[in-house]
Amino acid sequence: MKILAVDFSSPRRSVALVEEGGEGAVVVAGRMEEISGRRTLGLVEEALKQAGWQREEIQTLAVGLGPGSYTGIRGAVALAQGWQLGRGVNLLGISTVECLAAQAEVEKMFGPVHIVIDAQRNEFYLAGYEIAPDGRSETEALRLAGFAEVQRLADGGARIIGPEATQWFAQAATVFPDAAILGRLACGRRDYVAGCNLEPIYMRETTFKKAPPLRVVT
Amino acid sequence: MTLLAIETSCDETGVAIIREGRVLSNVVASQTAIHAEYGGVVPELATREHLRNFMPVAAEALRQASVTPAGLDAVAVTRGPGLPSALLAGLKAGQALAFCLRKPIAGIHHLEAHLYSPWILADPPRGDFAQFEPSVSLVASGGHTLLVHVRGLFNHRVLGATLDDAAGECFDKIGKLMGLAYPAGAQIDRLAADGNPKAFQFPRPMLAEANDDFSFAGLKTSVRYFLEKNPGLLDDPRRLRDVCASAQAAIVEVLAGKTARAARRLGARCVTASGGVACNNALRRELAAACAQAGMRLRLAERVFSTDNAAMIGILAERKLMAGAGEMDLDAEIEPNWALPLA
Repeated sequence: MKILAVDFSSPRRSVALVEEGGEGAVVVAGRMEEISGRRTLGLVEEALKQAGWQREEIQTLAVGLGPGSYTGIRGAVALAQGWQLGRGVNLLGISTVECLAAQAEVEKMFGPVHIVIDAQRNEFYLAGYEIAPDGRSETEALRLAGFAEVQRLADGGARIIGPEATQWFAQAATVFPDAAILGRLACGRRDYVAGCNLEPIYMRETTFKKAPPLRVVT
Repeated sequence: MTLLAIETSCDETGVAIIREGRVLSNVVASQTAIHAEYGGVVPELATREHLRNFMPVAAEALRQASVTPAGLDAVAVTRGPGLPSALLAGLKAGQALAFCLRKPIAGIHHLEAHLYSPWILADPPRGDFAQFEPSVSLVASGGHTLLVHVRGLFNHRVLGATLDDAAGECFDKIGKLMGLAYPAGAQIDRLAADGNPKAFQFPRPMLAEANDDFSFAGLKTSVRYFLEKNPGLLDDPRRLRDVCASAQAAIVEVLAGKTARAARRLGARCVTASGGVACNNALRRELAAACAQAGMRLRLAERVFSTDNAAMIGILAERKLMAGAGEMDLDAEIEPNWALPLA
């Protein structure tokens, strides 16, 4: 199974080509990253060259669904939709937070970890994980948290990681979502979704001002 | 050439299949009912809907056209102007489709597509560029109002544009003041049919000015002050129809008057009108009368191609690609504020 993984949810756009082999073997055949860039398919094209793969060989697209930069996430979702329309590939949506937790495991950040992603409006997306040598487990489900709450965690010595976490919390560790990890997470998964059901992870209620009652003129 | 075109510049998700100037299918998922609740287009909701609608709309367009993705020779997409996140949804999907199929992709200017949409016939739906002739063209919609001198195919010059609100926006805002549902243009058109356009005098902004620009914000404000001074007026259905007819007359007189005047000044033999406001019956009548009086031909966009649709994107893209123009780079970006290119 040849997988194209994309995560555009942070300022570091990441693309990887991952091959799921037999007996759980996973090979990262190509990867491209770009900080503060705006390329999408250009990165995919370079990763394909690196791997020596043809675009027609891609069987599955794994997309980082955030939360994070919705412009980036939506770009990735739309890219996946276009690819599925053209080639009928399988699509998988994977939480960017899950990806970051898996990265923490790969980087041996053992112990409790708080994943923090900028949510704008002085808020953060916050999730807790316990990272151990034999795996990771979620200790606190993803939710929105105010700055003060995360600051208290940081002041209390909690380990905070995230794409731009050091911008706010000096003690934090910068960890950007890595599409190679996303691709690894996609290996073995078969819970494919139709493109129209691939949706960014939204954490805020949509509240918009409604129009006043209407005048009905027959 | 068989081409799949995508339009997502505002609140309509459109996909069309075009083959050699013929519109094989033209599917549009309208979000009007969703945005009506808010009295206008909410960009965030529009984007979410585009992401939900694109795949089913594209699948339906392909099915209706009996075309498979493998049978496509090119892809076209609206690159701008429009709502940034809405444009992005269509552009990235189109780019990925073109990339995975190894086909060229054209990035089309939404207003340029409207500009040439009067040259698309509705039945059967196809381009009619054999009849093309130079014109002065009015493009009027909820987001744009401009007057263009079309000297030849893809050879055009913007003469003037709105300095503030677009004509369609003016209709919608006046409708909102009157408590009518969004979008109000069609309702005002319907109610005005039974009203007296001379019942109330509203200003004809910039009609007397020698330039080709428009301004509709003041007209909307004038209607607002008028309604504030006459609070009970809208409770009388007859008077409400008169307000609709009078406000509509002001908008239409400005649009038709300035279009006809520019055409006479430039010696144009043909006038065209397109965009959602070109569906307005009073505007169609007024333009017809003005053109008849001046001995000019009038070419109005068919109603189905007046509002946002992908067929006009595809028809224009096919002609451009065949002429060796319009092809976009792999990672070309959206152009939310793209000015109509000056040829």
